[in-house]
Amino acid sequence: MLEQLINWFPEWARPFIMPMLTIAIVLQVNLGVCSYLILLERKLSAWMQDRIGPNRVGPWGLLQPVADMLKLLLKEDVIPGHVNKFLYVLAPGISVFTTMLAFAVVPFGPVPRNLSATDGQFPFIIAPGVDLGLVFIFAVTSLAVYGIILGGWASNNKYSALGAMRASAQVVSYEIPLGMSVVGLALLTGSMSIEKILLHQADAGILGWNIWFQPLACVIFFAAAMAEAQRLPFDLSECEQELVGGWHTEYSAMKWGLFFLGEYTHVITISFLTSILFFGGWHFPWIAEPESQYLGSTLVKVLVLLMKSFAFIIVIQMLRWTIPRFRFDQLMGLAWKVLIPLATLNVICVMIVKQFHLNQWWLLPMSAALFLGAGLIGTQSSRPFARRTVEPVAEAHGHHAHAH
Amino acid sequence: MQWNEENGLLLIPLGLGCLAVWWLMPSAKQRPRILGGLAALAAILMMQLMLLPPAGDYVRNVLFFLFAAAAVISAGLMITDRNPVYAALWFALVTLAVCGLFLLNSAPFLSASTIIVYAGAIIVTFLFVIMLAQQSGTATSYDQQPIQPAIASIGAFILLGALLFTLQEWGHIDGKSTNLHAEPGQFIALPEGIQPNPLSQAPHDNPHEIGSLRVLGRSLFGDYLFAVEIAGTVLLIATIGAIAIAPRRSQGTL
Amino acid sequence: MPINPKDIEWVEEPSMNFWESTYLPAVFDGLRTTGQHVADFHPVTEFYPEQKPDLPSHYRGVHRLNRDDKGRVKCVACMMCATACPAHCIDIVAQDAPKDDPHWADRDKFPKSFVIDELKCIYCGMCEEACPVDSIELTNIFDLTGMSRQEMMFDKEKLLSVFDQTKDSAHNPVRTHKGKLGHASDFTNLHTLGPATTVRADDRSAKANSAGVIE
Repeated sequence: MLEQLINWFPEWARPFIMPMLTIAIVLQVNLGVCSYLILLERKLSAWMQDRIGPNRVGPWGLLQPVADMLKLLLKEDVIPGHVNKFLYVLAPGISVFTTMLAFAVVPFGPVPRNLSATDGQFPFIIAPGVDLGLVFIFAVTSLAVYGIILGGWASNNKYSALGAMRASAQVVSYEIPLGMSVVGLALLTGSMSIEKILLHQADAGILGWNIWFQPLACVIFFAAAMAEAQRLPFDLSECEQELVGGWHTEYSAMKWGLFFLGEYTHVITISFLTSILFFGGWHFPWIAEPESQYLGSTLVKVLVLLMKSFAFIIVIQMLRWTIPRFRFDQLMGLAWKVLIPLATLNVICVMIVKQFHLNQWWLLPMSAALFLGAGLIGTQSSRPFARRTVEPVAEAHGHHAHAH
Repeated sequence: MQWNEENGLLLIPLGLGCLAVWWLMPSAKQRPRILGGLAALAAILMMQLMLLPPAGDYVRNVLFFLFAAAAVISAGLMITDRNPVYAALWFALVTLAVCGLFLLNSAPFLSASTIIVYAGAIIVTFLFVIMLAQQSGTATSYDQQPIQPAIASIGAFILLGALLFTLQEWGHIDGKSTNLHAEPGQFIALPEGIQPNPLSQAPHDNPHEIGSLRVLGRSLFGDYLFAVEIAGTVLLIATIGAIAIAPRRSQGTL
Repeated sequence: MPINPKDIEWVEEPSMNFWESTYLPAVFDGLRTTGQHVADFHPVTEFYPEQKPDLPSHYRGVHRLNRDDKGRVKCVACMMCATACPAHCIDIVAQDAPKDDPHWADRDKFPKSFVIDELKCIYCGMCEEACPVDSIELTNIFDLTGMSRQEMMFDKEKLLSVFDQTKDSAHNPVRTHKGKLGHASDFTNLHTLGPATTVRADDRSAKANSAGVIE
């Protein structure tokens, strides 16, 4: 059917049909899912706090996202007089654009192994065959911080500037563990292509999922990715209690909404990446194997991937309402003193295993040993604020004598 | 005199460009920016006529000129903009455009890592420092004016000219004697007589492999092993130095 | 005056044990707590416009002026409330009680006008504390709205009508010190003060074994 659709178009346009179709589907689904994720997050937070959550618009509040969107679109779009107008308007666009662009190399279903743009197979990825998918994602998401920095600077507001500065320091720091954590995967798979990493796991079965060999990398990746997305507990750039709203203090209406669209798209990307890189993507034993060809197997594979990603979205949202925010020096300490050394050691472990042709299962105890070793060092480490020495008590003899 | 006939024409856009940049640089006396802009445009157009694009199809050429123009214009605006924040942003655009050129020349890893390192980290740090220094965005007088605009622009364009002349001599990119064996997008053919590194294992037989991560890794850790190790050592020393210089918390900072 | 160093007590951060310093157990512990609340879901939300809040009887809402047994305003125009009021929102004009009128035979003074600016009022309850005859009291009417500022200036008639509205409600008992303050404070046929606070049996926070809960 898709092939007929493609052949209906003139020759020169045929290579563009599938990418355009995929982009349209991804964008539309992403927008819808984002707005309903916001509803889910509000509901989830309500349930955790023994509340009910939004329930007035539609049955069980299901139309709340529609109302929210309408409100954001119809609200007065204030541009304060003291802002740098060009950058102020540009910043939300950058935020959304970069996070959406990162989704280009994330497969959202079983990508056919021999894919050409015109043979009518649905690609399940916007840009198939990118050899450096992982590096591409890190490159693009590292640009997302420009949205925050420019928004904060252009707002010409102390809170915004503080938020933007925190964001810049945080994102620059957390990019390193984020990139280092997946180097091990690239070494194990022999490729940086996300599709190949997925297929490598799917071919190896459930015991070939990367989580068994790289559990530590998974934790590091997840934490660093949440820090990149400015999600709690790493959302120091917008923390409401100290900075009003951080970099988006001066934003309103849909410009504000675009920042949050960007944030939620980032969350979706993280969840997809975690489930693809570490949990086998669309692979699930017995029901979604690479060789399963039954009717609707493609749909099942897509559903498996979506369910895995959904589980991670739930975890991210639950973490938001569970863990208190870090202090800024703790945030930086976590990146530079914990995550980066651990990620480096993890890569070295993978190198050792590959170089000496050891069994891959050695990586599991190695990761555990690294993790527990880090904990052991943590108990011994000195905490700078706890070591404040008490000034020797000045014996005020003269004062006492005078008083008596 | 032979040299003059062949290359003398290049001096005109170079001189014009130098003048344009000097004219556009922020100064105490307001100069009409439109004149500088026109001069710069003329220099770019003349330069473009003298340097042929890489061989390739239509889409490639369009993309090449888009990226190249974006890079050159953003670079000009970067040094002539009054506002440091805008200058940093133009720098980011230069980086992105150059990364696009890398991508066109089958170097995706170089492109992506340049974006991560330069656009994603270094310029963000610039912005961080600029924002720390001046929050309101109106630059104060001390960094509104370049210190030696004339000498800087002349020096920069002498360097640029030297680079262009060398490339022309060496790689024949002016179209007068096109290297017939050059791959699409290849600017400089290896001169005869230069032997490849014996450590090099790059498989040159498979055209699909060119630009892949595997080839890049082999090249880096085969052809350029020494340079990579030296660079790594220098960076390590710099890191240790930074940690050593940075004051301790107990001494009252932060 | 400088702080005596002897008075300073430096509190050390408690040192973390092995599992605490790996952070993950604490994360999972927190997730278990929040997850339990999701799984064992007992919302405490009240659906406000349909379901009015069950306010305690010591809630401080709109004022009322009590009537005594004969239906007269209980206020004796002593100005105690106006004096105590931190927001200066009470304005009283006193008048001598007409001696020859049998209706006012046992009273010296009564307020000719008694106006409370409900917009100025901070609902602190000082007037109620100050009143010697338990005349001015705060009801638990909390949703007070008006179309104009003038409408929110409650005069004597309006305050008395609030009393007529609320006197029979179990939530607004007349808080009288019956018998102690002479006849002006006496009531015979009205609700008196109930218990100040109630703890419902299904209130989980009341069962928590932590600090901050009033036993």
